Amino acid sequence: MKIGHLIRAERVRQDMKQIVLAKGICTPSYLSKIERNQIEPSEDITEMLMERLGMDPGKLQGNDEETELEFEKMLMESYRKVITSRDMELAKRKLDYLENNSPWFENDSLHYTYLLILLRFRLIVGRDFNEMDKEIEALSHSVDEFDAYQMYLFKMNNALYYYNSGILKKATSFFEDIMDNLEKIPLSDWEKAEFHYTMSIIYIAESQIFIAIEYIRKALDFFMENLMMKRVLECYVIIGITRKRIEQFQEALDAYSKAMQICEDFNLHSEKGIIYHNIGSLNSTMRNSEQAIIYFKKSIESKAENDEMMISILGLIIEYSKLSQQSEVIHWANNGIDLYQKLNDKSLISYFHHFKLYKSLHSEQGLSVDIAEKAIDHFKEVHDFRHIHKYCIALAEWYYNNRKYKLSSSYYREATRYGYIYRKVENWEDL
Amino acid sequence: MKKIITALLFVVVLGLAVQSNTASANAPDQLPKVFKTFSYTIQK
Repeated sequence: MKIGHLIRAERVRQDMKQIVLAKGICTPSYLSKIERNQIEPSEDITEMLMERLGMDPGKLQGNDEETELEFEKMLMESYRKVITSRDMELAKRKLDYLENNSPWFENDSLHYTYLLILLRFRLIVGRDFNEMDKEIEALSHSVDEFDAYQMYLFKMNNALYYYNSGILKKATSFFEDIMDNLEKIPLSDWEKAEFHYTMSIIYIAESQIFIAIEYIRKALDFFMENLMMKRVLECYVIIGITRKRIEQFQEALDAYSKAMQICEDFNLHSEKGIIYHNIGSLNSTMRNSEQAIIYFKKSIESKAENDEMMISILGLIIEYSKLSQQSEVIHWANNGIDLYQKLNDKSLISYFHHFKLYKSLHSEQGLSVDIAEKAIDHFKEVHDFRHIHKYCIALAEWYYNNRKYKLSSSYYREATRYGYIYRKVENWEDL
Repeated sequence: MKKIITALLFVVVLGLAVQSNTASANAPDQLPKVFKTFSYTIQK
């Protein structure tokens, strides 16, 4: 029976060397051949290898085309449902089911698809990131055997993994790699629409607005045709953001109005929070701080999920900071810090640094160099050049106002340097 | 002399920093969530 792909996947996942697994059972080179499915091992060897890896031989499934087809159908249907429904509970349920009820197939191609979809579900559910790192590493040993669709799933998993880890550059390179080969990948229309939607968000994060608009239009067409109204609403939110970024403020407002209308018409009231927030952000960009504050507060009141409040709290703090309303800055920064501690979610740590910095800047003692440096170090770690640039300026100005010109100068230089990186400029002549 | 050079250097650096900070206000936008772990909500 061919089990090499199963043995290899599990061994790499457990970070076990071939020599360790093979010890006392067979030679490492023999194991290597087994893993590449070049040799079919005896039952004894199969059992011993599986036992050492803690695998249950009872889950082995021989060649049975009907069972395989049925399983594949169930797997792909679960994948489609989880991706299109955006229902986290469904994702968890499907993941649990697949983890606990999946036979190991002799058909290595089906097994790869299964592992790739399982990893996608784990990325969605947000299980331990270090574990995912290992899974990606384990899968990367099998890329030569992937078909075009599996390669797409693999690159997508990588892209989402790096995106979630805050390493946008690497994420984008995987997305672009998929883009370059998109015509060769057998994707159904829903999956293409999902991909276009994802790409638009990635390009907004990368400030490549015109490309983002192109992708979101494609996704919107599909969601409209299929009357997927929550997704249509989200597309309008994205369109609003892109219009704001290119300073088409009226068009941005029109897009948010359409999104709000969909909330009303289709009873999607839980989505109002994100729309209010972005109208607040639009007002902020248009220098209407008072209006921005009203909308950020409306957004906080409308949001059911606590983690979504963080961004609106940050919006409020920025507006109050611009208006030099120190007690409000401190009040909202304290709220944000309390919420961060309550949520205990490490993925929100950037907010913690934003809140701490603004609170310190507006405190009686003034900016704490320690807090500012920690924030700058954090944003360096996550490659967030805009915020390194921004907070280096804050620190430089603090030093300047305290007549520490040398330190001030060095932070202005640092600010300039990261401003260049943020703007993708190498020399001042290019500005 | 050293102080003057430091001061001059400072002016040059300050000029560049200010120049690179003249883009329009960039308030934090909230992008829709794809999923909890895929919700990069602050643009970089």
